[in-house]
Amino acid sequence: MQEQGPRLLALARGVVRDTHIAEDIVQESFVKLWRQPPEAQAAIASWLRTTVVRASIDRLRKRQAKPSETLNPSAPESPPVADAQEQARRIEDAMARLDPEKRAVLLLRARDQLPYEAIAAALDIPLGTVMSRLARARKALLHELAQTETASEGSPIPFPRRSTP
Amino acid sequence: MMMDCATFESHQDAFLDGRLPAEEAGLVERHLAACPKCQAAIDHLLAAEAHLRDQPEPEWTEELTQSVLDQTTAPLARQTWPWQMATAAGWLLAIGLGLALLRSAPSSAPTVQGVAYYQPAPWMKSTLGPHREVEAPPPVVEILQHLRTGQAPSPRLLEAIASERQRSFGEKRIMLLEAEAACAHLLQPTAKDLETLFPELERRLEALIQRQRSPDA
Repeated sequence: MQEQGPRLLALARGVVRDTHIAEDIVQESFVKLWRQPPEAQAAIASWLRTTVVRASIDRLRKRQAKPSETLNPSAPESPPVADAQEQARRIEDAMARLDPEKRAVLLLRARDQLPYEAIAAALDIPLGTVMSRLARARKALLHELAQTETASEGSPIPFPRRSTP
Repeated sequence: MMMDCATFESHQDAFLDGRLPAEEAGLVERHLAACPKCQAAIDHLLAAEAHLRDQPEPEWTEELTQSVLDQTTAPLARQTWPWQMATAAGWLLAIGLGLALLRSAPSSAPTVQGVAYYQPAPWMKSTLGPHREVEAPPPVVEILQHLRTGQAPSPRLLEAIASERQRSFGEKRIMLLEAEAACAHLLQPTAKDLETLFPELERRLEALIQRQRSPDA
């Protein structure tokens, strides 16, 4: 739990945008693991990830509620630079407006740095669907970022220059 | 040959994920150098993904761990007086039966069948489903060796098992609980001790029941 907990909590919180709901989801997933563990011990991390993502998406669907919490946009280790905070806020706002499936695929790829195969397993979708969903998610994120840029009286986001991907 | 914006868009994800062959990646690079709009798009995506990647992980608190353990080990977590008395009564019954067996058994008592202690109890099975093989933590391996030799476990080993059990959950926790039961078996008193212990335990249980009935007494 100590090893997987923070990672799963970050994933659930990223999808549902609510710390308390994310904690509930991860706890429920651990309880579910206790009751119905996967056959292979080695698959526990992947099983937990899948369970948390599905539970997070299901929870949002059931509630049919707009995500309400704006997550802390600045990492503690980041310097409190106004520009960086503004950029982080806009990214979080844009993420919050995406649907949970798109948020999930972006988090699994960008945050957890998972290969496509692992994302396919976590979301229980074919490999090709991962690629198309990721492409749609990135396009939607760009669209939302453009919206926030327009909404903030035309001030451009001070994004850093591109580094090698 | 210069890449156009539509072609770049179709290559964008493969480029971001490093899936493009070197030649095509070079074409994308050249397009980006010449197209501020596409460069801005890729900068936005890279910044967003860097932001997601660099967010600190939330803390997994001790309270969360305890909450999960409470839900998964509810029968153990709700230890109350009636439970303890039931346990004490169970021990008395077991000791009584043991005494009866020792009195009737020949001097060469059968050796300990340690393996029996590693079968999950029925209530554990109903909670967990079918028993599966799990990797035994070091204190369990150690107690297995004790069971083979019949040597009593040391206080250090008892503490290691208890400490490991507090941190464990699932089948590993069950295994450690059963290792503790095996320790209790290995540390069981001799026949002579039992004869003196039994009346003492009976007296203590009586006292507990009395206190439960009239707490002010």
